[in-house]
Amino acid sequence: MSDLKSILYRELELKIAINDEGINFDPQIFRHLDLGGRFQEEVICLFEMAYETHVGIKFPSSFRSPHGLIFYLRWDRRSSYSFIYEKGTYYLAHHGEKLFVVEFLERPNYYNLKTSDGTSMSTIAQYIQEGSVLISYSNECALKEKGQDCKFCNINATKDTYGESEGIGWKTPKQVGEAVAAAYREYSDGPRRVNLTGGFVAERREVEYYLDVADAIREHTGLEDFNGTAAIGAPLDLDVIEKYKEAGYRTIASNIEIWDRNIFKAICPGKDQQCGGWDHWLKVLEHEVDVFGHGRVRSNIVAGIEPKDSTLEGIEYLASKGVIGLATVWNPNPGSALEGHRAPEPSWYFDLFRKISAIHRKYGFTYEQIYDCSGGTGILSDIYRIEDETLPVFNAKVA
Amino acid sequence: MSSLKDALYKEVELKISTNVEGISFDPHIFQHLDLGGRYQEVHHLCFEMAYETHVGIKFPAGFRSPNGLTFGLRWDRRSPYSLIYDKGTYYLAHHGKVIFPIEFLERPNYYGLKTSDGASMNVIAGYAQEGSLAIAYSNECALKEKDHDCKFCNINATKDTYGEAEGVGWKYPKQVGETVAAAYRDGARHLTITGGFVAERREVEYYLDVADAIKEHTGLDDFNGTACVGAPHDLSIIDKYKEAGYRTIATNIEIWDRNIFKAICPGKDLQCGGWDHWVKALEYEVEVFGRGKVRSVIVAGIEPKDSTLEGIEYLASKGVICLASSWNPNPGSALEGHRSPEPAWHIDLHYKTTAIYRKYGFTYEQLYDCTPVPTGICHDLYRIEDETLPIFKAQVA
Repeated sequence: MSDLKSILYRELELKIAINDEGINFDPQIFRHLDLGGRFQEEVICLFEMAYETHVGIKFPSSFRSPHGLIFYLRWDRRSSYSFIYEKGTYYLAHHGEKLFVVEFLERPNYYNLKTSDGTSMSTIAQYIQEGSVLISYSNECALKEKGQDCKFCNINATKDTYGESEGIGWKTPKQVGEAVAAAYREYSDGPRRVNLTGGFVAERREVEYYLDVADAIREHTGLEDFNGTAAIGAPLDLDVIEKYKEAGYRTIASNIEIWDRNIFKAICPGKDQQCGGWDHWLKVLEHEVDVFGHGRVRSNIVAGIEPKDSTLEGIEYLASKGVIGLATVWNPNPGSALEGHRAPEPSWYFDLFRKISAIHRKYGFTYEQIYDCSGGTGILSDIYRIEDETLPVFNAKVA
Repeated sequence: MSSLKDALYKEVELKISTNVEGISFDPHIFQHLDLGGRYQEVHHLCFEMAYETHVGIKFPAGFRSPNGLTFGLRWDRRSPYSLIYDKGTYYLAHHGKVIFPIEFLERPNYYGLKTSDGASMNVIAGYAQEGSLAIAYSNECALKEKDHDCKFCNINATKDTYGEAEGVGWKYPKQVGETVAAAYRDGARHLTITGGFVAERREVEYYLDVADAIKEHTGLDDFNGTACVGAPHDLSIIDKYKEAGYRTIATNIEIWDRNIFKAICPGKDLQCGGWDHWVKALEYEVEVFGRGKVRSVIVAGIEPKDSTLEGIEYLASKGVICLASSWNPNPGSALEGHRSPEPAWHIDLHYKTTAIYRKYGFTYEQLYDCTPVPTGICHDLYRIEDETLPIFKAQVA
């Protein structure tokens, strides 16, 4: 393995460790940073991922490692990782020892813009780097009405904590169309995609909304294929899936969350009881591949709740059907039913991600497919880009 | 609240924290300790509870806090808790700061004895303090044959790692009888017979033979024994344990949520009639043995806390004392690499569990009689609330 690759893998291990363990810092450390001006601030539109809530105190959204990997910034004052600020420079440290200089991410220009109804675009479309935009149409989940929230999820608690203070609420299709158009204009020289997601909508009325949003994005961007992912709960009527395709979404996502069918029942009672059960989720994912094609369907597993073998069995099964199964590092969030639990160790995750990436290769998924389904800064995207030497740092080295 | 009680509650919380986080130390730190002589050493009779295995390196079984609580010693080099040795004294520390001096547990006399066939008694019956013995008749579990081991359990891995090195294997009824008799002569007064599943579920005959041997060697008709068994298909078998002379019985359901139970305990689900049958067996055990004379355990931290508490309350309402033991993802278990919830999560759970026991009227004596380790958190909380720990007498004196 080349030196650069080996350095990048070390950075990747650190990225995973930090995602898992968080970073300890005094919130005042960012007073030297032009947050919300030059640097991109975090907008808490769906989930609080920090160990503690911090209403009214802005954090940077993320930062870049020396070799260009994008690290998430998850605040946890118990972590052995920390930030140090010294003479105008921020460092990532471990047990107080500096690891490297961090570079916070530049704020997109469209964050300064407003939609025609005066809403700040930064609360409509979050920029998640590499030309990828995240829209959470709603910051609440109707599963709470029956006490059936997924046990790892804190969407409703996050809304209660941050909704009003951050000005986050339901987004109208027009607001989404305008914000996506602004973001796409700004990032027109590279790949672009938009992910439309959110909590369950009462009476499962999301399909009409998704179609209206697609119309609005097409209208405002002028793009017939706007490279959108529709993240939806498994519909009871499989025919609904065609509608998303017809509306112009390039990819679709239905997050099964847990592969083990029994643990799924316990951890995702709403997804089990209101969507026809685990078997129906699988049927939906397989039908989505029929409609959208191999590598154009994504499903996520919250990794660390069930045994690793089960997660890998799920990823492999889904891959064999053409579904890109992702794993995210479980962060037991404030306000979720599993608050106080702890995710597995970083090395558990590193092993998991390497194995998932090997499965994705085995079933022929390309980086472009992973990008289209999930964006370009996740661990699995990083592994592909390290292996294929397509990260910008490889070009920089050659030049 | 008295300042002594307050100090004891702080020690309980520390005990839970060190159990969950473990304690970091250099194994050589015990070179100054007369381990296996004056002080009691650990034998891996069932499970390795440390984060790493340490074949050939003996650790102390546990230690006592200044106010007399018994702490387990779980080695974990990542822990913020540590042991410090300074000028002849061992201390418990947190982030390098001394919390208090500790006193390792004295070795019971019977650990130095052998059975008539030459087996060391210290590998026949582990001394769990306060006069209680834990006898693992077998240090393996037949569920592995069908790959049905409980996902949190490392009994088979522990056997592979330590069985030969520590001379731990199957125990014959006569060995058990002789060892129990020796320990009871020194003041022991409770025992638990436990172990992994036996092939073809033939454990009942064994348990009856062991009871006969204990009665023969101790001369006691009621030897205060707990038979820890898997839920039998035929519930009438439960009567046999009672007839054999066991005072209490235990059937560990491990997980209350019936769906998570299926996933985490596939053998207990598939080979014992499923979760419903486990609950039925526990309820039948109460009919046979009586209220407060049946125990179950939930491995706490795998399922959501609400589910665990629901189970403990339901079982208590039926007369079953259900313990919550803090999950330690062990080396060799399928869940190795996972992490147990934070200490605060466990502390809250233990307080709530103990409140449930009080609500349903369980006594300390019942807790003592049906649990394998009489120095658990619920025991501590009862003895603090009731002011029955020796330290309270010491204060009055």
